[in-house]
Amino acid sequence: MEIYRRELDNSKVLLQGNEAIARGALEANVVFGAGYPGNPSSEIIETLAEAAKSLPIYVEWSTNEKVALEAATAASFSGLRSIVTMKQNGLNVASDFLTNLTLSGTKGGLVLVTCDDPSGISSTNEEDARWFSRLADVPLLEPSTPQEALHMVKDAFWLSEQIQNVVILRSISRLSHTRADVKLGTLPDFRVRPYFDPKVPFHTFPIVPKHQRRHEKLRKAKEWAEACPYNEYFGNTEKDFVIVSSGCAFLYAYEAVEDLGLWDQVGILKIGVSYPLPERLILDTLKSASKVLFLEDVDPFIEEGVMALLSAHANGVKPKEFFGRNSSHIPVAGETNPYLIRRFLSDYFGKDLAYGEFRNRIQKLLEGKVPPREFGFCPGCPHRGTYYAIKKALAWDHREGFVSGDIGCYTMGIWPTGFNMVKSVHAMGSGVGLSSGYGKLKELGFGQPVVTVCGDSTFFHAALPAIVNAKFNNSDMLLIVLDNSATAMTGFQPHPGTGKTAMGSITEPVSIEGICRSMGMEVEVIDPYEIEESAQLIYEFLQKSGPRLIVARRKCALVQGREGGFPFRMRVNEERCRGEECGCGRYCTRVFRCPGLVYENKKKKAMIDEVICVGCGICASICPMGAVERGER
Amino acid sequence: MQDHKSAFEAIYGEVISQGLCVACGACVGYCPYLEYKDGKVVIIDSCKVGTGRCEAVCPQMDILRNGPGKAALEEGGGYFLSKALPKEFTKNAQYGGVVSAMVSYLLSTGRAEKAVLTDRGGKGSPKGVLVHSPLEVISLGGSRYTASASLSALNRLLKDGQPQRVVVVGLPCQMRAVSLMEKRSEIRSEQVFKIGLFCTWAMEYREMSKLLEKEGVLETPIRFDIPPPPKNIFLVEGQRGKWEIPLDRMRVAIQKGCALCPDMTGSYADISVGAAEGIEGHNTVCVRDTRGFELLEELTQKGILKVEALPEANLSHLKTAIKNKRERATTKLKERVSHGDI
Ligand SMILES: Cc1cc2nc3c(=O)[nH]c(=O)nc-3n(C[C@H](O)[C@H](O)[C@H](O)COP(=O)(O)OP(=O)(O)OC[C@H]3O[C@@H](n4cnc5c(N)ncnc54)[C@H](O)[C@@H]3O)c2cc1C
Repeated sequence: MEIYRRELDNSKVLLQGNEAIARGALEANVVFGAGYPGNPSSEIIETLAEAAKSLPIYVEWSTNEKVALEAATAASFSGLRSIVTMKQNGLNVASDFLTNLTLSGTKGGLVLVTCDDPSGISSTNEEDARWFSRLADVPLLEPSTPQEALHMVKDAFWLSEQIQNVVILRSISRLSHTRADVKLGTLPDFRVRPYFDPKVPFHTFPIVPKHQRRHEKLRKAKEWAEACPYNEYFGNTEKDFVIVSSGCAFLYAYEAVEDLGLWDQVGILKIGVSYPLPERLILDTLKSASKVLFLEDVDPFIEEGVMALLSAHANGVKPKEFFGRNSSHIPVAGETNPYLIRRFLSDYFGKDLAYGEFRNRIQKLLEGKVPPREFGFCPGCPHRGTYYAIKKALAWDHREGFVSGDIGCYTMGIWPTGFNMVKSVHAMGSGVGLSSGYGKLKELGFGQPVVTVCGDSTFFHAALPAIVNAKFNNSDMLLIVLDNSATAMTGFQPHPGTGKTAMGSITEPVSIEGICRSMGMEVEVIDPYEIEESAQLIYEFLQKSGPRLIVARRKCALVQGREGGFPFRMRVNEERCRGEECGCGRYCTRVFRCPGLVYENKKKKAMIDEVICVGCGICASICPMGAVERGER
Repeated sequence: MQDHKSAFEAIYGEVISQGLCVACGACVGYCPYLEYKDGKVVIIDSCKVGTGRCEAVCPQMDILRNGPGKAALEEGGGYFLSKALPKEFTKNAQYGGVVSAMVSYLLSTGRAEKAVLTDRGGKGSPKGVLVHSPLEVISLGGSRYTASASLSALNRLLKDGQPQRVVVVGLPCQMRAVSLMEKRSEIRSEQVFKIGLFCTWAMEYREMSKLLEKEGVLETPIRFDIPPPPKNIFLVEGQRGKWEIPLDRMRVAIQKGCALCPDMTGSYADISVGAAEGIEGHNTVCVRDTRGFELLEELTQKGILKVEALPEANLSHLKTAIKNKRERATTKLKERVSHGDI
């Protein structure tokens, strides 16, 4: 959606949550955007970068979230409005700067958007990034709908300038990726005068007074929160049973109460400013309630805030029974989904039928339509080749070697699609840091070789310090950078190695080999499609010591598909494929597992699924009978 | 579901994971699960096929399940002293060049189209090669004292399914493996000429390389030898020098599985060839069947081989060595059975 077009001003359009956030930022006169891709946040910067092609604003993909926040802060210090986006893990990375920045304070409005991924559907963790607002003493806004997101972003900039500090806006996957009608406002003229006033420095000293000041800012934000429309009570009169809820969970709760016909028994308090909480509103609403149910994603963040508030005012309020994550009425982990909410409410209010019906309806809708699927690399994915080569090299090496993994598509190396090679995965760059440690264990008697894999984008994000550490301490580290020339997992965003910026301008690529060579590391490049040669080189590198790098270079198959495709049309020679008779035990489909290969049960032979096979040709070297052949396109 | 082991579980559980594999290569190069790399037969993935060839052609499995098998002496045959006369066969040869001469002859007369030999290694361990020109045969003379899984080269031929007449040069374990392949009708006896090398044990490549490195051998050696007792040394020759390493220092590199092997002289071969103790530049040759006799005779007539009777002292030494190896292996096998290892 071209949300930057002025013709759209004041009209109603269908927007994705992230697009609504981007549009809100533009309407708020944001001229600087920075971020690091991470699901579900990526579309905000992507949308802004697209807008930057026709509006006088600057947008970048930064090398990581901390740098993104720093870059955006430069704009704020110079009096401009800036937005910085990331996913929950990203806020961990940015947090060191954040907790200092919030002491010095900001100037131009600075809004930090974190898009959390409840249930970790596309993440390595489940994390509630809202806690950072408490840690850094800054306001936290939680929209429920794209429309609200658009408004909230605008208000967040206003608030940030009022209190001269960062404001965090928190979305979750469901909001970021849902689509809804959004009534737009108007775009400003983006005229700005960046100026850093040398008389007003930004630093954290003296620390205690600055820390005190930070709390004063927060108090100011609380006054705003008390009156702002994002916190609202739904229900005609005071109720004995009140649901306190935020974000998407609020919508689910609303819908469930409606569907189950509970409005005469239940009221809902929607919280839009989750920190600092609107205390007066909460105390008023809950005064006469004796049951309070908390529905939010993911941790009991509002729940604990409200409980603390109520115990501070215990004298004036009625004793209560609490239901939520703390009481285990809602599971301690996982997304707060409609199913959980309905189950609780229908059980509690004796409405089993309604719940049962809901479940039956869903089941009927899905029946027979959703085949079981496992996580898998795409047909033609170079990672499959690289992992296969690593698998061979480690088997040849025979010292029980393993792979230390990192974040990206190749995280799937923990599953059969990557031959279960990867034995540990945590945070961006951490696989490399771990390996710099394994590489020193030899001196303590450790005999197993470790292969570290890291993507090209991850290399720049957080692997570099770990690589330097390995070099500095002369660690026996074998790093394989899986260079597919894109931040593929999150949608092909450019990174320093690609030679292109977020706004599409050409930039000199930063060479991964160049960096490592300059540190004196031994460097080789392999082609993941040449499995045997790659395995041999990895095997040879396993026998060496010191920090060393192999770059496994092949374009992401999806990118290659768009940029000219692949050379082969694969076919199975049915005379050569011996099917069940062969001793291979369906090696191509059972072990190699490229989805482009299927086992035809009737013919009892392997077959190419021509619809999805891209024709990369790797599998030709997998079949022991040479039955998979590379034909001409 | 399965109440008995799959082939793979058997060969992995009873042989490979027990450290009893002797890297003959009979199971290598046929399926995608087993590969040979630098002295080791390794598992690429776990196979789920119920019955398999790997188990059926494994000579170690055969010993574990069926006992020592054929005994060299009782089978009869004849022992001779021999050497190749043309210089080309002896210049690279380990001793008398009898093996190289026989292989070259079989290839040049078309009685074999391909020979399964062991290359010299270099970047990695020596391994199996398919050779068809006598010149190549000559270039590959000499013994590498590490197991080479050279039967993988034979497997390549078998897998392609082309009828071939082939000569296989190999250690006693490899001769046993080829005879198991014959039993399974994978290859007909007339198709394959088996030349065995005498062998007491072979070393594991990686261990040997490590030891040699420690001894200062920093190159791929050209020649190895183990001169007859009582010398007790391992001789290594390279471009940059000669090393005499006490044999006892090398013993840790010996494959554990060799202790189970009862067969010193390749009882399953058509002809076997070994050293001739104390008689430099000569081989002891043991002929086991008519094919072997005919070849030896033909080569003598053509003036390619000189063949004499084996001196009595050599014969009696050899017989003792053969007997000792068989006895040691039988004891070892019994020990394993009583330990419940098999
Ligand atoms: C591991 C090993 C242990 C041996 N132990 C003894 C022993 O204890 N007592 C004894 O009398 N003789 C032993 N021999 C045999 C001896 O070293 C000679 O190979 C044999 O006498 C033939 O000599 P030649 O001059 O005819 O060989 P050549 O004409 O030089 O031909 C040697 C042939 O052996 C093949 N070859 C080399 N290395 C290997 C290998 N590792 N595996 C399979 N084939 C190989 C080559 O392809 C070549 O064709 C051993 C050989 C090996 C390889």
